[in-house]
Amino acid sequence: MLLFLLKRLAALVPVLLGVSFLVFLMVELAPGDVTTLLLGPLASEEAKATLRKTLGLDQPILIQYAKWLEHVLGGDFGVSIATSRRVVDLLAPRLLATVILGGASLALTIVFGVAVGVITAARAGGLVDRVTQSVVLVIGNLPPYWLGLVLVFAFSLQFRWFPTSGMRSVSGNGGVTDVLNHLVLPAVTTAAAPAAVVAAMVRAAIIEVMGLDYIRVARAKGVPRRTIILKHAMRNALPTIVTIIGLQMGYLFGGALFSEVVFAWPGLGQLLYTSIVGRDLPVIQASVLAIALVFVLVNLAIDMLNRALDPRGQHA
Amino acid sequence: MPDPVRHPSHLLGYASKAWRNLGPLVAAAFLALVVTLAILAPWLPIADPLDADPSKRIAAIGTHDLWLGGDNQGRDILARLIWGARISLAIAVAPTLVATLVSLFLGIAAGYHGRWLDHIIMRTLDVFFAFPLVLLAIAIAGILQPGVLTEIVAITVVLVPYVTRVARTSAGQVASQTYIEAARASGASVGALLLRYVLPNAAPPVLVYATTLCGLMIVVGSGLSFLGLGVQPPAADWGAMVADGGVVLRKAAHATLLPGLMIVLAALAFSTLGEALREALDPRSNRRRSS
Amino acid sequence: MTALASAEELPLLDVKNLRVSFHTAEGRLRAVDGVSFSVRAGRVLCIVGESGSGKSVTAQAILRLVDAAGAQVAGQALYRGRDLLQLSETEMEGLRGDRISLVFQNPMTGLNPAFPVGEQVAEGLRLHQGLGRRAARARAIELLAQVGIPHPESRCDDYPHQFSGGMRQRILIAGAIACEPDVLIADEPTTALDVSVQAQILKLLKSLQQELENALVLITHDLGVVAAIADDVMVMYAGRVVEQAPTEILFDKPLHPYTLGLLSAYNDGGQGFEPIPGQPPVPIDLPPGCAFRDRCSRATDACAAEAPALRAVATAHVVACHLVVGAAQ
Repeated sequence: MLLFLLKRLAALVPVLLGVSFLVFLMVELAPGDVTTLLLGPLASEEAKATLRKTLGLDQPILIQYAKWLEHVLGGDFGVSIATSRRVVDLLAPRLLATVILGGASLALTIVFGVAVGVITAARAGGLVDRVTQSVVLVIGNLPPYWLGLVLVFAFSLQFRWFPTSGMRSVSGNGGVTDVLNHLVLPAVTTAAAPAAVVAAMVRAAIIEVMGLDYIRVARAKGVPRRTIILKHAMRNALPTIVTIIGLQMGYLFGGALFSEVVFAWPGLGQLLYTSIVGRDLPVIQASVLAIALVFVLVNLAIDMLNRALDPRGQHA
Repeated sequence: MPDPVRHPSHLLGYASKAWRNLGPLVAAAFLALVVTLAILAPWLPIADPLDADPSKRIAAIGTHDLWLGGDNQGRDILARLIWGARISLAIAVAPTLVATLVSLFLGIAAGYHGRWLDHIIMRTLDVFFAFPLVLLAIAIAGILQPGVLTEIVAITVVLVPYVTRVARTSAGQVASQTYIEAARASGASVGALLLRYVLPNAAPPVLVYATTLCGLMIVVGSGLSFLGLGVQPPAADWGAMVADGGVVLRKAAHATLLPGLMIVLAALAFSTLGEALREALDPRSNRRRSS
Repeated sequence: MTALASAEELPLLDVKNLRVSFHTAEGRLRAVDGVSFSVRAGRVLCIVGESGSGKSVTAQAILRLVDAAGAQVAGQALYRGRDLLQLSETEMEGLRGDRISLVFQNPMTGLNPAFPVGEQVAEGLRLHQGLGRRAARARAIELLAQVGIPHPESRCDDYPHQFSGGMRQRILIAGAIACEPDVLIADEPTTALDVSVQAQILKLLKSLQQELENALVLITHDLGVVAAIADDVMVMYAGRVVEQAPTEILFDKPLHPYTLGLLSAYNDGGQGFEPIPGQPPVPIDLPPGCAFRDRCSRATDACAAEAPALRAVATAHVVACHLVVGAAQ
C-alpha cells in the first residue's frame, strides 16, 4: 500500500510540473503587455524596456518559468494587482471556505446518490424506480448556476428559509450554525447534478451485481432481500461505487466554482472569478494553481481508497 | 392455467419501451425546431432582441405584447431566446465538432501507432486531466479577451483531452483486430489503412461520446457566458440571460427561469440523442427480450 | 399422478402439476408444463433431461426463486403438506436453506468473492438457528470437514478464489446442508467439474444423504450419475414428464422412445444425448401433440393430434406415449 502511494506520488511530479508550467504559460500568453499595465499607456519604450529587464521578461521562457516556480515553491505568488497584498495571504482563508463547501457537497452527493441508487435498484422495474430515473435524468442536466438562482428564489426570497449569499451573516454571530445556515443552498446546488449521476450509476452497478450467481445462492439460503442488497451486493459493488464517485469529482469542482459565484461564497472559486473580472493576473495564476492542486490531491485520495478496498484488482 | 393477469410491471414495461423509442424522436424534433428558429431568426416576425424599452422593464409574461415577458432592460425575452439560441448552440456544437476532429486524429495516432507516440500524447493529456474541466475553461476564457470566439477556443481546448482518450481506446481496440492485420499484410498503405479501416470502425463510440458531450457543453458554455466571459452585452445568449435575470430575481423570476429552462431542455435533448445513439450502435446490447 | 407408490411414508416434497411460463417477445414460453413428482426421506430422485427441458426451472420454481418479470407459476408444491407456492416471501425465506436447500451448478461463481468461505457456510446457521459468531464458526469448521475440505480450521477464513472448483462445490454443499434440511435439491452439481472430481462429489452427496436421512433430488443430464446414485428417475422433455420409474426398472425396461434413445446412447459409451438427431423444441406456442414426435422414429398421426398423458404401466412406472399401452409393448 505504501509502495503504491510512493509510486503514485512519483508519477504525480511530472504532472504537477506540467500543470504549473501550463498555468505559468497561460498568464504569459495573456494578451496585454504587463509593462503597459504597470506603467500606463503613455510610458516611453525605454521605460518599458528597462522594466522588462528588471522583471526578467526578456529572458527565455523556460528560465522565467524556473524562476517563477522557485518563487511559488517558496510560497511567493507575488502581489495582487488589485489589493497590493501578498497573494499567498489571500489563499488560506479562501481554501478553507472552498474545502467546507466541497466537503459538504461531497457528503451530500455520496449520501443521496448512493441511497437513491440502492433504493431504485432494490425496486428495479417498479413505478418508483421509473419515475425516479426520469427525475434523476433531469437533475443531472441542471446547470449549477441556474439551479443556484432557482433555489435562492424559492428558499431565500419566497420562503425565507436561508440567506441569499455569503458564508456568514453580516450581523456576525458567525458561529457554526450561522455557517451551516449559509452552507445549505450552495452545497445543495453543487451536489445536485453529481448526486443524480451517482444515483443512476450506483443503481446500474447494484443491478449488475444482483444478477450474479452468488446472489442467487444467497437467496437460496433464505437470506432476506434487504440483507442481500445491503450486505452481499453492496460489498461487491463498493469498489465500483467509489470509482463512480471519483469520476464525479470534476463536476463537483465545477459546480462549486459556479456556486461560489452565485452565492458569493468566499472560496477559491469566487476569488478566481473576481480576479478574472479585475484582470488580476497573479491572483488568477495562484487560484488556478491552488484549485488544481486540491483536485489532484483529491483524486489521489480516491485512488488510494480504491486500492485499499480492492487490492487484488479483481471484483465481480 | 390461471388468468394471465396484467402484472403492473408489464404496463410499465410497455411505457418505458415506448419512451425509449419516442424519446430520441422528441429530442431530435425539439433540437430541429430550435435550430430552425435560430437560423431563421433575422426573418422571423419577432421583436429586435436589442431593443431596450424602459417602460417594459421586467414585464410579466403576456404583458405589453411580450409573449414571454421582458428582461431587466425591457427587452423581449422571446426574441432574445431565439437570437440567443444561435450563440448558445454554437458555443456547444462548434467546439465539440472541432475537438472531435482533432481528437480523432490524435487518438488514432496514439491508439494505432502505440508505443512512444501513445506515451507522449497521453502523458501530455494527463496534465490537462489534472484540472477540473470547468476550471480550465474558465481560466482560459478568463485570460483571453471576452467574446464568443474566446468561449469556443476555451471549450475546444478543454474537450480535446477527453475525446482523445475515448478515441485512443477505440482506435487501440480496432488496431488489434485481425482484419487490420489482414489489410496490412495485403500491402495497404498506412494512410489508406487508417482512412478506410481504422477511422470508420473507431469513430462510432467517439461520435456517441461527442453527442453526449454537446449536452454537457451547452451547460458549461452557457456557464462561461453567465460569468461574463462570452458574449458581451447587449448581445443575447442563454447564459448571459440567466445572469441578467439573476439581478431581478425577486420581482421577475421568469427572466432567469426561461433561459435556464432552454439550457436544460437542450442539454436533455442532446443527452437523450446520445443515449439512443449508443444503444443503436452497441451490438452487445444486452437488454432482455422480455420486458 | 404421482410416480411413487409408497404407502408407508408421506412424501417430504410433493409437487403437483407444476407449470411455469415466461413472457417473451416471441410469445409465452412454457418452461414447465404440468410436472408432478414426490420424494420421501432417504430416497434419491434424479430428474433427467437435456438443457432446455425445464428441469432447472422446476427446482427454482419450487423454492419460489423464479424472478423474471412476466413469469407465472401455477400448481402445487407441498412440503410437509404446506403449499410452497402459496406462502409469503418471508415464510419462504424462513424455509430456504433451513428445511429445503438448493445447490446450483456454478462452483466458480456461486461463492461471494468478498467474504471468507467459513462465513458463507455459517450464514444459514446464523440466520435460521440464531447461532452466535463463535458457535457458527465452529459448526462451519465441522461442516467443512464433513464435506472433505482438508485443514478446515485454517481454511475457514480463506477466500473462495483460494480454492479449486471441486473444493468450491464442496463448500457450496456444506452451506446448503448446514441446517440439515429435509430436502436437498442439487442442480447439476457435477457438470462444471472434472470427471475424477465428479465421482467424489456424488459419493459425498450420497453419504451426506445417508447421514442426514433427507430427500435428495438430483438434476442432471448425465445417465452415468443416475446409474450411480438414483433410486428413482424422472425423465423430462420440453417441459413435460415423459417417463418416471425406479432406476433399475428404467434401465432394464425403458418404454418411452426418448428414454430408449438416451439409454442406447449411454450404453454405447456416451452420456446419453448425442446420437438422437435433432434438437428439443423451444416450448413457445407448441402445436398440439407429443413434443417429441419430430425426433421420434416411431411417431404416428395420433402423436401429432394429441399430447399423450402420463399413464401407469406398472406399479411405480409411468409413461407418456401413445405407443405404450398397458403393461407391455
